Amino acid sequence: MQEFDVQNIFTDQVVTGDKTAALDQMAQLLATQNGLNQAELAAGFQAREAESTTGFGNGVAIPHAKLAGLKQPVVGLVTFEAGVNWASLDDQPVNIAIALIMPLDDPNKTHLKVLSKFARKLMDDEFIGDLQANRHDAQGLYTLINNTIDFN
Amino acid sequence: MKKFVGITKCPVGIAHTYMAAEKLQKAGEAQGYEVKIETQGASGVEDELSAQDVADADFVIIAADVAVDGEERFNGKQVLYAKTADAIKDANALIERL
Repeated sequence: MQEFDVQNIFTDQVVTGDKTAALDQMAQLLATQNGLNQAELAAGFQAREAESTTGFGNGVAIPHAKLAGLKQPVVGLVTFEAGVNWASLDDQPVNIAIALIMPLDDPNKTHLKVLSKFARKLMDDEFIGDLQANRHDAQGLYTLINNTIDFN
Repeated sequence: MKKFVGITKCPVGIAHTYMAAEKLQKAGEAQGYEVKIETQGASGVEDELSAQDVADADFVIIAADVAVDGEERFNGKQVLYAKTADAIKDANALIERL
């Protein structure tokens, strides 16, 4: 299972606008890289965001979406050159967004359990500090996340 | 030992359910509580609360953005209702309200 790949890490993206623009840009990057339907992905991100912000503080957001026909989850990571207004829980701009893209109907609970462990890890301030320290370095982020979460 | 239990649940069930549970667990333990949080996520119910868990708890925290399953288990208990965001943002404040 290849859920997370360094090709899905995009650092120092320049966003003109707020989180709506950032989410559209993330959908474009991740859809192109993974052969997904960009419009559907963007709509999924925006719909989830409309429910409540995914910016959970410390400059990090975790936008997510479910896509029909997706075979396995995709984890993407996008960092922004300048903080993006995300209406976050702590009112601080977001410079790291972690995208979780899930199959709409996934009978494989292993995927979900891996992602739930990852979500829990995001509540660890030290881990967030490490993410922030590596935000300009795709390989560093890849190594950090792979060392933390067992995606295999 | 003082104890509380809780349930977390969010619309998609892959992230905030677990983030909120983790925060409540950590904050509760730091305040000297035994904590058990049931997650109702996309992969189903995990760490399901038994009747004994509920009976032993001093209070209940439900941090959910959608209706939770099995709320009748808490009949007669003191229950605090909150959003997952409340737990993620400041779990200590939630616990201290009780």
